[in-house]
Amino acid sequence: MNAEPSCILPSGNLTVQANVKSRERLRFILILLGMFLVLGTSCQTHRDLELAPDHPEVLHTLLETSGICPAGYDLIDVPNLRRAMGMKKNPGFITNTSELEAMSRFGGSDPFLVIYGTGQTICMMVNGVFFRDPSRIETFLQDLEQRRRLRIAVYEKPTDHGSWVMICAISPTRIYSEAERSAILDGLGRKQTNLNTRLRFNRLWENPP
Amino acid sequence: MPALGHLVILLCLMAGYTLAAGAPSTTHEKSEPAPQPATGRVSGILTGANLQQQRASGWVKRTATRLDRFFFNLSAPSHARRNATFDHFFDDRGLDSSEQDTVLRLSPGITVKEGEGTDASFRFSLRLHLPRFENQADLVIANFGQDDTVDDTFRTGRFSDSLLEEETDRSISLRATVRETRRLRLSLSTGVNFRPEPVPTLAARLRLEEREGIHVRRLTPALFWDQRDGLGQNARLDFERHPSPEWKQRASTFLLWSETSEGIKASETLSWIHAPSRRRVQSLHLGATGKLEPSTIMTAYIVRYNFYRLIYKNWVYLEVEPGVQFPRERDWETTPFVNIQLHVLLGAVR
Repeated sequence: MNAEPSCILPSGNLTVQANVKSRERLRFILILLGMFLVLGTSCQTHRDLELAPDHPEVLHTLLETSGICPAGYDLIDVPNLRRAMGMKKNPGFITNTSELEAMSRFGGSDPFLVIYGTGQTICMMVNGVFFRDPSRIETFLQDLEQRRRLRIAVYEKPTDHGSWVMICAISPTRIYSEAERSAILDGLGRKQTNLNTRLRFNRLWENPP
Repeated sequence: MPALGHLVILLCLMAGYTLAAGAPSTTHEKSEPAPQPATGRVSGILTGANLQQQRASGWVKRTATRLDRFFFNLSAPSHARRNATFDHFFDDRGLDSSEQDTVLRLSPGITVKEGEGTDASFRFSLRLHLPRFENQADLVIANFGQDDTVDDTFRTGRFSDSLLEEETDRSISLRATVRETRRLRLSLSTGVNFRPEPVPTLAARLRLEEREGIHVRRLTPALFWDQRDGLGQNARLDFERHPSPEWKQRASTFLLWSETSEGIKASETLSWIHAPSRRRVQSLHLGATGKLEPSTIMTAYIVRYNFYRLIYKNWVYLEVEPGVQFPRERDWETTPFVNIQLHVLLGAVR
């Protein structure tokens, strides 16, 4: 369609028209590239926003002020577990997308994990999850209570912007000595006092079915 | 099967009868009390058996969870893979805690049929539920080729409504539901049958269901391919009537064609089913089987009564099926048979 009138135009006009066409094409390509760039950037930004913890100070507070670490245990680095959960260090925020998705279904965000043990043996872990809407905590707790296999104690810490739920878990299959039990109990007691948390339920020493 | 195997199966069945005799008769599931445990020595044996069942069930469930995680991690990107240590301490909370449906069914049985003597059998089927795949995939391992068009609740041990069921050494298949709505279900399965050489199989099955009041119409066509027997297709058409929650009447037409079926095989079954609970079902079936092509020939008439009930706790069922066959190959002679099977369930038993 465009080629027909250009045939009767003088050659100068033809050059101008060709330049206009190439400029339009260039503009079109730039717009396309821009759209892809925006889309790509928006995806990346969105992901970063999802993974970046809103409350990075909580881990520092937990470790510095709670005194939760049971006597005889230390913070240990288990590279396989740390990498699998997408943590930069122990303690750290979990960035494993499967776990983030699982928590977001309950309305939870910013999950973190603290690993305690001796050598390379994991003896206790603390998993914290933040709930912007505290009314959604009950559903999460009900789900936890139905998992009878787990040996966990669950605490709630209300804040100005929501509530933290902290799950202290020990291995369902390992046998803990009396000394370990009392050290864990002491640690949890210190945490409850220092962080002013509320115990929701304790099934640490129940025999799994 | 060696004589010792026959003896073990016979002993199991006798134990089943003993338990069944001690169990109270029941009418409704809610009012149905669990069968009372026997006293003394028998009680000790039963307690031990119960403990073993719980251990074995725990093992089955743990194995299913591990396999589910393994298959999920094979397909998931590295940042989404589940970690066994984390799940050991906290569980995968993305999964519903009640989603574990894996059941291992062990079914020793014995069939006595006139003219053929006694035939002992041992069937097993393990249905590994894989909840991480949106609850739409099952891995099935069994020692017989199981046809999904047969309603599981009313499946009989030896004389099913299907012409396709056959004994194999082992069968491993992965079954996935591609699409499921209230009226439609499309499922695919792929696997290997060992006869004893491995034979790959593929199948696609569609189920269309229409409900109008107490009437149900169901069409279940399937297309399958087997490396040894080639292509084939079958279709099942059911007309059901549910006059009450406990009663069901059904007319089933089943057609089968495959490259090795020598024409089109067909069966027609009329069934009256009384199921006061999932734990007690009895049914009467009148059936005829034959060929439609190349010429219409009846091959057998069958009348059978099936009784299936829970006999111990929630994991031992007994199935008794007396019946009469009139097969063409025996010149329509009355051929009585009785099929007795014990079903032991391990895993996520409800």
